Amino acid sequence: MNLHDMTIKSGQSVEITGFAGEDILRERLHEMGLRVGSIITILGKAPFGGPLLIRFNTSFLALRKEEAACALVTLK
Amino acid sequence: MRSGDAEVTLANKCVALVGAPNSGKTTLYNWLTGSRFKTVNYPGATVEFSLGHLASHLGEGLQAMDTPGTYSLHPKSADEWVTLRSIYENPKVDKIDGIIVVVDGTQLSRHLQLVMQMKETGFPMMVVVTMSDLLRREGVELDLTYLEKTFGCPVLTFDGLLAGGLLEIVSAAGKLGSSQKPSRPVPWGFAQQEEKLKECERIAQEALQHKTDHAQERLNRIVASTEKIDRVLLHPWFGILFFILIMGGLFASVFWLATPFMDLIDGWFTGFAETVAAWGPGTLWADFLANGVVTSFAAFMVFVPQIFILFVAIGLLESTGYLARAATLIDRPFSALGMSGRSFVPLLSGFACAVPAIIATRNIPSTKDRLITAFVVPLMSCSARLPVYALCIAFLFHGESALYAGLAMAALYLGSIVVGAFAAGIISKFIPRTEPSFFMMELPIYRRPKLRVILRQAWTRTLSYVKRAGPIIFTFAVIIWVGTTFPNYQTEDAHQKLEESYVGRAGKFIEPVVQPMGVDWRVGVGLISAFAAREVFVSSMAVTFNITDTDEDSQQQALLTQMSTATNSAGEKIFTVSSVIGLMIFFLIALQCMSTVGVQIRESGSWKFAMMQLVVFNVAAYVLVVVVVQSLRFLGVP
Repeated sequence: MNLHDMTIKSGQSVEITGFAGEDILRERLHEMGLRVGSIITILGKAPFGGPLLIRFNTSFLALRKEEAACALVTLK
Repeated sequence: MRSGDAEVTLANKCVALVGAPNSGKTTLYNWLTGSRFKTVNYPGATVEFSLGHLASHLGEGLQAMDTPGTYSLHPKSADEWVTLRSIYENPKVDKIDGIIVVVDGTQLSRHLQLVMQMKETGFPMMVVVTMSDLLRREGVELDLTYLEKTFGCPVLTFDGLLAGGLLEIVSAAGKLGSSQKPSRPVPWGFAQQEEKLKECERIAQEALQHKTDHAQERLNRIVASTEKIDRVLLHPWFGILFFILIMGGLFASVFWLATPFMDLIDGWFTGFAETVAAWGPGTLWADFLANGVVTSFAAFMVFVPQIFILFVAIGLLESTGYLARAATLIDRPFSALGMSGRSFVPLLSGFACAVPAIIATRNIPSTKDRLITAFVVPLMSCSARLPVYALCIAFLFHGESALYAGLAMAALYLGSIVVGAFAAGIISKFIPRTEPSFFMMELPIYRRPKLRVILRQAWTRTLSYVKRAGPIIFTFAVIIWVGTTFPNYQTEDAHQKLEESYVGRAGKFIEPVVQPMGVDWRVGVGLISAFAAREVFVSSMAVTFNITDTDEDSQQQALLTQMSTATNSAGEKIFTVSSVIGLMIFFLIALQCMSTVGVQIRESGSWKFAMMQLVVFNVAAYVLVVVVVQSLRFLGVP
């Protein structure tokens, strides 16, 4: 599944297993510090089906669904 | 602080500050330069970088350059391109002698990527770790010697609150420099980037663990408190509630807090204009100085309090870390209109005045989002439209319940939002997207705002508004003065003078154009002169309909009476229900504000964009008004 998957609930932790999608988005995810093996905590979603809010290490990020869909994850 | 001698010379050594957004780069820059800097627009781009000398107490011989925030040296947005270009092919600086890479101490592992990339280019560099005050308070200590050894360059800390470490940074920056020519950054590729990231995480871990075992734990505690606050502020329901409260507060402060100061400035300039006029009563030069020069200066200086308060408010939201969250909350509805969550603050402030709102679009990194936002901003009903709306509503609901008037006013404001959303939806189809629209937004850790830094930043931004927009606004104002004064400047009768002036003739000339709107040449003159400022329409109506009473309340009363009896050359009433509704619609949509056009030209860096906006809005407003007025008349509405 990817980070945009609806089955992931807030409060859950996931591990990144790989990246897919547009190069530029994948590269930006890397630049924001996400890599294979990163453990991510799902904080929730912005209202109206807005960006996904996540935390990993000491960083907080908001990702739109196109971007979140680039990160392949597995439940932790 | 000397700002007059901020001459940019090539003799100085120049260091560039490079770092991720929110890394504290600009705070460091402001401390380094004091007020001795000027912002330089990168040719062809809205994005600017700043160049400045060291603040006088820090010594001489060093220039600093601020660049837009960037996550890497492989640019993905207009801002990031400017950063790269300003380092390698700077139009203002012969050669960058050294780089200060600014990294946030709470985001060490992520920000070290940029340090690594910079290291590979061979630029003489040093690293400055910011947020050191926050780290020290929590007892988090970094092993700087280890980092220095790892990267082979000086690593220093900086406390943005009290400017601790500033002298050491200056001294280390002064020693930077080598003869070798730096190379261009080479892209890493996915596999390598994974490795580099892992390496960065390891280095960050080491730097923390070399000092204390619990440093990481303490760092996590800082993060946990941010997470706790976010549970409320980003909550699907409470989040929206707080968002409305906070933004309402911002809107109200820009709107209400500024009013007394605006009145003060307005009153001061009015008094000054009277004094100037008294120097040579009835003479042309005194009239030009008073009603041309002073009045036009007043026309744009009056916005200064609004702009300053807006920048302070945005600065507060930004430095506490809330602005990024607000943009996140509102991103979904805005992205449906082709914008992003970051467009929200500029649009909101557009209700106060389009001028500071357009300047505020600078905070939007994507070019397309920024252009769409700047395009739509003038559709938000600014405060200058209020007097016109008030006059029209008073005419329509004269002697009737105040409830109708209130509802009509609310409908106008709501209407401006609907029209704005509609326009954004349309224009987004026409502006090509040259870069992907990222909304990978970093939500910074909540921090106590640094008021001193915010005030100073707001002040320099306000000053930049005065310097940049001033000449253009001034020019427009002089043209309008000339147009309303000549050729019969000696005529005593103000009404006759206006009728025979170039603007009056233009009004008569355009009468066939305004006639389908249900009005005559006099309203046409009002519409033209309203270009100086929308509220001028009311005073222009007073002049053209020969109202001599200067007391404001009775002036409006007298004007309403005059309006209700005024007839055109064919003897038909000019102001009827349909024509007044038409006027309100016109003011709702039309772009008739020289300050806005002036700022738009400056900010978009393109006459074309501003002129297109001017034409599109005015034509659309005109067509809509004609359709509405003629339909209403066809349906039997007077």
